[in-house]
Amino acid sequence: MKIVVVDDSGVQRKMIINIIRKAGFDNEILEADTGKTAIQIVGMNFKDIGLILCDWNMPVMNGYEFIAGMAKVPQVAGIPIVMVTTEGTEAKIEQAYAVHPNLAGYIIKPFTPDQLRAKIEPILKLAQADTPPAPTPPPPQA
Amino acid sequence: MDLKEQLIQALTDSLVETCTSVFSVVPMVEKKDDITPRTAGGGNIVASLGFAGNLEGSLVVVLSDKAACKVVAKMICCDITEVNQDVLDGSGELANILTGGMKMRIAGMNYNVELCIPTVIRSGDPLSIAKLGKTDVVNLSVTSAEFDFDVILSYAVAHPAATAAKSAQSEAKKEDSSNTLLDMINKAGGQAPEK
Repeated sequence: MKIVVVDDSGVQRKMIINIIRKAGFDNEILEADTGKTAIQIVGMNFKDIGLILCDWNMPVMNGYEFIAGMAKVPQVAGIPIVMVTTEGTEAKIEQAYAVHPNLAGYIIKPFTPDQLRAKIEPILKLAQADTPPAPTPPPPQA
Repeated sequence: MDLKEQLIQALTDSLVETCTSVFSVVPMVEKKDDITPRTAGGGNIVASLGFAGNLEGSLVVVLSDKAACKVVAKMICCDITEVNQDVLDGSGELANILTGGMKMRIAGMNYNVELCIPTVIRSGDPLSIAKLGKTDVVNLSVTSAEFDFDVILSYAVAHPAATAAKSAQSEAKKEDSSNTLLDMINKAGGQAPEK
């Protein structure tokens, strides 16, 4: 199960990835620096994605446009998305939930590692529990 | 409290929250009348972020090379001794977080602004920042045990007609990303597993 981190700041992506790794999750993490790149990544990996962490303000295509597109496509509308953004006004939060009613969370920057961990841990644990285990290779022939 | 005092309070609160939660340092924030940053004369990194709405202007963070390295090292938990792409990128992110924090705090005063993407430049030469147009300026100097930097906010109250026109332009620009996504999924020929 893969995690997608969408943020135009490479430093912010590193911060988020550090927190995920320190929380003990070794999932493959895919990175996107715009909503447009995230669309490509989701299109190619949609069957394997268990969580998307998404910024709002990005060049080319922002996070709001990205989640609006995700909500319209039934095959990906159920993928949990947590917004991680400086856009912390009530109006923006309402706007995000209005366009994607199934948003899994909304974290306002600046955040502490504990705040991010508390939000993503239950989602990742649930997704991992739902993922069928990889087939065990047959024992070597004696 | 007048607008300038409200903005100083909002920005100070945003600075304190950012320094304590991201950098684990308690900053001392001091208002300066002079807009010349303290770091003038050395290597400087300048991260600027514009905002527009019924209040418009920009927030500029000015850091010495050394301070920027320390700030970004704290963000990504590693040692950084020289300015690299991460340092420039992280300085922009600092401007982004500070402006976002200020935006959130002034929303309750009916000032609604949209944020731009940060721009970062580095100069090895002495730096001066000029005041442009009919804007008011606030310079806050941030001192902590680990690093110092300056934050310069320039702002003006926008004309309501200009605000409405910009808002309409912004709505018209929004792109529908679902078609691209649907095309890719259809080409892949699969349904996502049940969640």
